[in-house]
Amino acid sequence: MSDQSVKAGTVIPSARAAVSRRRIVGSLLWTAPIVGVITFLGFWQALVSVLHVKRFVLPGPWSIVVHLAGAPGYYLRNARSTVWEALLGFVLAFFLAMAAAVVMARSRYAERAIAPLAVLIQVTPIIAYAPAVVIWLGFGLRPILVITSLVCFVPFLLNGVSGLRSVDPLLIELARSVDASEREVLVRLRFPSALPFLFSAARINVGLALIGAVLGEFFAGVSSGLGYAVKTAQARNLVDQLWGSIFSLAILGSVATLLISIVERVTLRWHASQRE
Amino acid sequence: MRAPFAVARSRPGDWGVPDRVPIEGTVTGAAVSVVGVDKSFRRRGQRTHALSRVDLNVAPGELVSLLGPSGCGKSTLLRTIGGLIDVDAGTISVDGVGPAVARREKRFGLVPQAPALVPWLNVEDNVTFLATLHRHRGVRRVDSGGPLSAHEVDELIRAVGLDQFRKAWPHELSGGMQQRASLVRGFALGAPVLLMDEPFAALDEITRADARYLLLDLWTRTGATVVFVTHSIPEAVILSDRVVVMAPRPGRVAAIETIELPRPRTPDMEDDPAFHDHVRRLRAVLRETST
Repeated sequence: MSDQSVKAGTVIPSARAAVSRRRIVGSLLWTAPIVGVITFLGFWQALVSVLHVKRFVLPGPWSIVVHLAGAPGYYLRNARSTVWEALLGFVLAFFLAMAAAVVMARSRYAERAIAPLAVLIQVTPIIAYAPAVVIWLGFGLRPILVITSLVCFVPFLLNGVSGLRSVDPLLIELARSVDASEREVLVRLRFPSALPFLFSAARINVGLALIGAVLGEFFAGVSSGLGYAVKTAQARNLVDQLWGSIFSLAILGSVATLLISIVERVTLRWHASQRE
Repeated sequence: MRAPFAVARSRPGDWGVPDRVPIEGTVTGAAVSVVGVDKSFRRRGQRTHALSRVDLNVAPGELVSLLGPSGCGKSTLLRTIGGLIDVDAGTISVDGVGPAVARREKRFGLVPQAPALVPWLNVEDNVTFLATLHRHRGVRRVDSGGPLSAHEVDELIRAVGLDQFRKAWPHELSGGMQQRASLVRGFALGAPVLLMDEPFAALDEITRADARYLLLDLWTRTGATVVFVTHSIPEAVILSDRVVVMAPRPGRVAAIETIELPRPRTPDMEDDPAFHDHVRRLRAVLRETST
């Protein structure tokens, strides 16, 4: 063996340095979102302090956090209502959109028939017809669910159709070569292929579901939820409650997005989007 | 329970296939018969005559290559045999049954040009994927034992050198390794007929040369009938019992060359004068049919 040769299993110094550099970069990447949020809040706090912004115009983030910590039960109770409405609407939209997407992915005719309706739902501001939904369905949970489902429906539908169609045609041909049924192709090939698309839609829909739930609470005459808290804060000029509700909604949205990202990371380990 | 690789695979050929020493295999290859097959495609009002009165008989356990230039109907013929494309006229049968029934009974294993592995399944699950489809209908072939057992699949995975990668995702494999997994998937179905559509076309020359002998090894182990589409004359010669030369416009059988090289085939045979004679003859036929 020559002097220059490397014994099997020996890690050469430059390779070791590269590995540790990669680890450091990996750890830094995890901290990046926290650093971004803290910087933003710090900038906001500094702006409010330096420019002496009046509290009713814009309170500093620290005072909002203090307010939240002073009344956690109120915000938790209202958050629970909003989360429940948003979750139900999100799940309902998913199943309805997937049923439509399966039909659309199979039939160009059905796609052309349903697509204009999807566009109409997407381009018509939900706030314009939300009162009509309340008139049809009355006060309570039902109109909130319909409003939330409507705003989440289109992203699930469009991504679902694209995802179901994204399966490799050679895989479809292989399945046909053993006479696999349409149902097997759908369950074993098309649905898993659609997952990356559906996770993208889910990340968009987390925010939309919260918007739908809050909007529904504005119109549906309910007496709980963060939308209701925002509405009463506006009516009674309660700036702390207004910003406390906004912070709570932001936290809810962030946590939900984080949870979806974690599930996506575990479920889509095989997909290019999840590789370093 | 069937013993791994213990069923005699060869049956005497009815179409002048050179007799070989029987090799032990897992399945009994099926006879494929193509009689007077015609197929046309219509696109934007234009009719393309893809196949014209094609006759071809493949003996059980035989390895036949379809050779010809692009657009001569090789892949179309392969897909009509597999029942993936309906014919306009003529008949196709696999051990006496039509392609649709043969497909239902999993008598075909398809190996496409690209590896087409299922990206969310590891190598082990990929090679058994096709065998797990269509299982609920309870259709079993009467002439062979169906999909290979877990032990037999293990043997094949080991034979192609993927033993260390059985839990790897497809994206973690090189192109050559993916194609090896695709080959094993075709064989793991235990199908008596394997339809291979230029499976090595996307590989570099070194990997491709290895893949040929790997295919021969798997074929020897399992005993399936193989119909192999290729553009490569040397590949067709080293692999095949017979090479079917196809001519374009319309796609038809121009000539059939019986390869006289002994089995088992080895890389040394590519230096053999007999090998070069076959290559020369096939090249001449191809030149003749394309002018």
